[in-house]
Amino acid sequence: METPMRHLTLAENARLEQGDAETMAYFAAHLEKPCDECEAFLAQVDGPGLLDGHVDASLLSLAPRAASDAVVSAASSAEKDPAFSAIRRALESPPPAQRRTVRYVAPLLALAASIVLMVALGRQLGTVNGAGVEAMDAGVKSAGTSTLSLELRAALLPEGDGTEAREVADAETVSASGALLLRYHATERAHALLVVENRNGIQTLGEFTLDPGSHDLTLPSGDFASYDLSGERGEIRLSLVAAVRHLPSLDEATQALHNPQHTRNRSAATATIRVVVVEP
Amino acid sequence: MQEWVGLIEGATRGVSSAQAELYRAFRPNVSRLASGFAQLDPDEVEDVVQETFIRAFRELPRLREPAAFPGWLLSIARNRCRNRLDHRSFVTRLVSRVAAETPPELPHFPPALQAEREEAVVRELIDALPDGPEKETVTLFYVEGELSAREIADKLGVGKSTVTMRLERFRGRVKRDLLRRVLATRRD
Repeated sequence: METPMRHLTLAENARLEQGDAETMAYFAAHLEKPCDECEAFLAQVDGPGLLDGHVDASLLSLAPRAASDAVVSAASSAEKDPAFSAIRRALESPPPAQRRTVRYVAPLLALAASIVLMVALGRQLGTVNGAGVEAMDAGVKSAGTSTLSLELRAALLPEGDGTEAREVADAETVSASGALLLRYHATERAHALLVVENRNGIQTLGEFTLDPGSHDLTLPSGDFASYDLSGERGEIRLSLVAAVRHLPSLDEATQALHNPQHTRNRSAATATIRVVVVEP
Repeated sequence: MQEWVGLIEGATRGVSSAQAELYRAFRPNVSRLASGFAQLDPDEVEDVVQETFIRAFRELPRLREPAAFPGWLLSIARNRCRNRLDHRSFVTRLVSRVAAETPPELPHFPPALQAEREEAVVRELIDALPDGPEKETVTLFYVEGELSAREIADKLGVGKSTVTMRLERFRGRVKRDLLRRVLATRRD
């Protein structure tokens, strides 16, 4: 039986980042020939490592240096360049990223505390005050008794530096400027698909490995995963669909989200955040 | 490379003259990269340049490999550009907006390959393109290097997003080829 062809994905990219020998060997051979799917992925997603910077440096080295750049270079002192002076002024003031991080942590700590409280109250969770969280026990069959419960919360990070993130309530109306940052709680280690449902239907956003406990949803690079609201209108639903033993497919995710009564062979747990996006 | 080491060490300590020299040396490439996104107007390109250097100088203490500075700086610039654009692709909707662009802990690729410009390889890839709109766009932007992506769109009479798409598609091809070489080097 022919081995299915693999293409670059977020998960494969992460394995390359980690130096996984098998993955590196596979793609060393696979990328010998042009591959539209892999090239499209590489064009849109950073990594692995600093490859993007290397690519850009190589491309940008082709052209002769512009005459305007030569004028800048010939300046007796770059320190007198007004643009550089603006950079220095920005460096001398407190970094917006730090202000944002400090304020971002506080709301999420509050979220974490409330999630711990909810879990302590029992596994049956429905809509929770303050956030739209729907979770179902998975009823996964295993050698022991194993159930997977998920919760998902979101914080809205408005556009612009120096603004703070705040928790988003269930079905809250939000502006289309800004991004949603996600935090989950999982009772077990699981493989999850993050999907978005909007006026365009349901789409996969990414694949994640969830660790037990409460965590920010992050990319393999360690960066926070966020959903950019610009261009969205109307109700959108961000959902994590997870299972312990396998990564749910998009079809399985769609079934789990839209047929919650179909539970006999259910092996996936879900958690959803809903917001209504309006023009800024 | 040795001159960078001294400049980076000084810039890490906040020495203004060192930062100014790094800015002077690398600003052209950062600006050029940003101008490859035709949806960004000239003011936005300038904003990206500023944001890139501010971010880089703030994170510089975490950069362990001075040789990685040029590529790392351009990675920051590319992130800044993407953060400003309204991407429709579901892959790029997951944007890291909160986390700072921290340098990687360890270089993942052989130092020799990090330093190598690969100019001849890239020129071969351009030459191998069939004659047509993509080759013309890539040649105007990367080889001649005088026009921004916006100006190229005006010159060719096509939409701004078309020019950006052509450049990104070619860039994806270059990245595939370089990744293949890196992986082959690691395997050997």
